[in-house]
Amino acid sequence: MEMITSNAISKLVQVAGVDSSFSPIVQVVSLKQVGNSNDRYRAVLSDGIHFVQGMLSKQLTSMVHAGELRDNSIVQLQECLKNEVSGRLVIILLNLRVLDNPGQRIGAPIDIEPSLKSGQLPSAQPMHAQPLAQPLYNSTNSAPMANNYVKRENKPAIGSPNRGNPYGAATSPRGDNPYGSSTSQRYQPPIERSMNVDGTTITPIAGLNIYNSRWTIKARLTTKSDVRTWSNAKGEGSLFSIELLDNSGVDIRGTFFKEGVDKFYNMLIPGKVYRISGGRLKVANMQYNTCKSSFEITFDQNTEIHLDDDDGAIAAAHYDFVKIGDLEHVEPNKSVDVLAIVKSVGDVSHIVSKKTGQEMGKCDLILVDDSGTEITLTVWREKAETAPRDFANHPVVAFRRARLSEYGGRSLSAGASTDINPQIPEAQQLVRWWQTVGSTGAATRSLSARSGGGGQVASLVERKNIEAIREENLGHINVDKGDYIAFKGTITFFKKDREGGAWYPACANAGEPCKNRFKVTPTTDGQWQCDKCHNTYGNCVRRWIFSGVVEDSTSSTWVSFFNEQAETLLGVTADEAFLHSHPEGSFDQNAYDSLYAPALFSDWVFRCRVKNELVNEENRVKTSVVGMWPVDYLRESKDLLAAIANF
Amino acid sequence: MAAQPDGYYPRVNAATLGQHVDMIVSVVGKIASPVGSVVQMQCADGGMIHLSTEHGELPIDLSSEMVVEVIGQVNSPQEVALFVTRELSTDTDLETYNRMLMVQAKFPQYFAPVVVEQ
Repeated sequence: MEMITSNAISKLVQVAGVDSSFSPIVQVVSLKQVGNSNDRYRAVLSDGIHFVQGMLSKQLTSMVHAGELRDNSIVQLQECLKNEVSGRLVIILLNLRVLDNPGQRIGAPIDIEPSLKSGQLPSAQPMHAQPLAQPLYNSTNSAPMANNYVKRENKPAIGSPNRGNPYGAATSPRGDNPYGSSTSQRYQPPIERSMNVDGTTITPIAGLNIYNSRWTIKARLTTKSDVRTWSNAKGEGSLFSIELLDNSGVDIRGTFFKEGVDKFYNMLIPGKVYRISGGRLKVANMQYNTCKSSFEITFDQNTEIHLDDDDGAIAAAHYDFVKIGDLEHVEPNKSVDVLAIVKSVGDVSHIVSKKTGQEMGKCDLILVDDSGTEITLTVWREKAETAPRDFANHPVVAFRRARLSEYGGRSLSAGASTDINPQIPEAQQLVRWWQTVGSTGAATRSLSARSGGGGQVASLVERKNIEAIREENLGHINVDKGDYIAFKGTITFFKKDREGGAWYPACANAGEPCKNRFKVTPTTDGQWQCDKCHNTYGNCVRRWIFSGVVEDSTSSTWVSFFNEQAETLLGVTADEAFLHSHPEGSFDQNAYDSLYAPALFSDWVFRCRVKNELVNEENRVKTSVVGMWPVDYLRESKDLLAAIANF
Repeated sequence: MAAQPDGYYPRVNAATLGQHVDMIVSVVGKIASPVGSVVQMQCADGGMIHLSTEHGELPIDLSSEMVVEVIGQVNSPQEVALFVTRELSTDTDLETYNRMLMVQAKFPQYFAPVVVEQ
């Protein structure tokens, strides 16, 4: 058993957060969850003689959950801070190492607070020594430890007295004591001040909160977005946003508007460490904000930013890469980090954004990684314009916070930042994989094979068999849009003999709103009436619609064929078929049947949408063909041989 | 003749011909020399064998690019007595066919004939 550092607690309460070389060994004599969330824990630290209250920072909760850190654990404190909550001293534990778990409490420690208060311990705490400075807010808080936001009317004036202070945010003296228990139901991390740097107190990002408008953070710029402009009824402007990460492990998003853009956009360089102060904190908009902090910063005219030295204490932008192959199991609309090789770059196209009404460039990239899976990622705006150049020659790229969507199965939309050829070991690994394996074009599975008819034919690797429709309960997973499946099968039956033929008459209006799709009804005088565009036409456009049975070695299923697929299948349009089956004006069954004969028992690779629909108050799973391709036997053979070789 | 189930013609290459002497086999490849009484054929594995035309004929006007399937009896490890031929196509991929033959050799349990009891 490790020796507990003698007088650890009395020394700790003096030097915690200041002398980072002091790493005492103490015992955690009580570990308790705080409040309702299961990631905040209170730990009482003891050296056998004294004890002091402690709080575990969030990054240590996994140790508790894993059972590694528990009651009576002997630990070595590696990094901590000091703070005061409701007049009590609390040690914030940022980093520790569990040495042993003896299972019993050593000694009979007593609370160190009374000694502290009575001054029997030398109060060499920098916090006390710090001048109280100017009263921050208009309230007359003379008590050094006042919680100045406890009463609502004490709302700090934003942008209030910052003058004379080079760092904007105050040399936050006691007045800034954050979260007393009175304002928060949940125990918020009381980390407010940490290291003293040149007389300015740096607040960890983890300790920022909306009640405190005087803060200085020292953080690395991990992401800088492009400048975006907007114009709406209220006017127009420009903005850009950044993400900052500091050594509390929490990152935060901040946005600059208008003049802020001019002032700061060019000076901010991703990867560098800055000291930043001044700005309004507000609750983060989780829809767009994927940072860890619950807050985000709106930088304003009080914002000051200074380049700081990078002493390596702050981690570089860290990624949580997800393999493309695993993206299938990630919920859509989540943001993920992806490291991949750009297999190909599409053409740059322009669309009009529904939201802004402006034209916006887009470019699709096909990404592949060593999970052998591909996915399409779309880059937008300026990145799209330069994409063909930036992503040429199969670079390895780290995409941060790309949004996963359900479009075409799974696809990605470029997020906060895109780092081409990042200098990280995983990138080198992936490049090696590409050079040896990936670029040979071995069959890869694409998660983004597009759903609507066109797109690549489903390769062997991504196909399933018909039995999978039942086995995997398709139609019930994505209830709104339906589930997609690709399989190879043989058509064994056509249900073509319903009244009128296997087609329906559609409106001859090729433009809006009909687009030749809506059903028309025949009028008494041989014309066609459309309810959609309210016109009557002398002719109609017939469109195929019929169902059939497709089988493979595992099962069979009914599928519906719509116009495009049926034309592919039968080789004729419905209008041509109509004429063919009415050679002398009246219906000729043989002529009609002959249209289908060549297609019967033909093999195709199908891509289908399986959807659970309500039909006459009954739920039926309906499968419709959205794409079909003839079987390329040579390619199939090669894929099968490769699959057998890998078996 | 070895007892060979009816209708079962193992697919062979130049290399495996020797294992099937006296059996009726199927060989796929290209005809490599002018039609005569003894013809050279290049198999899917690149090896050359002889075809004897005493019992059957090659089609006339056979292009040297046409891939054919020959059914015949193995006289010796180098020669097959041709019975019938079938033209496949000029773009049949012999490399893929060859790989298939190797897979067949690797999993004989799937490619052995299924004998139906009479």
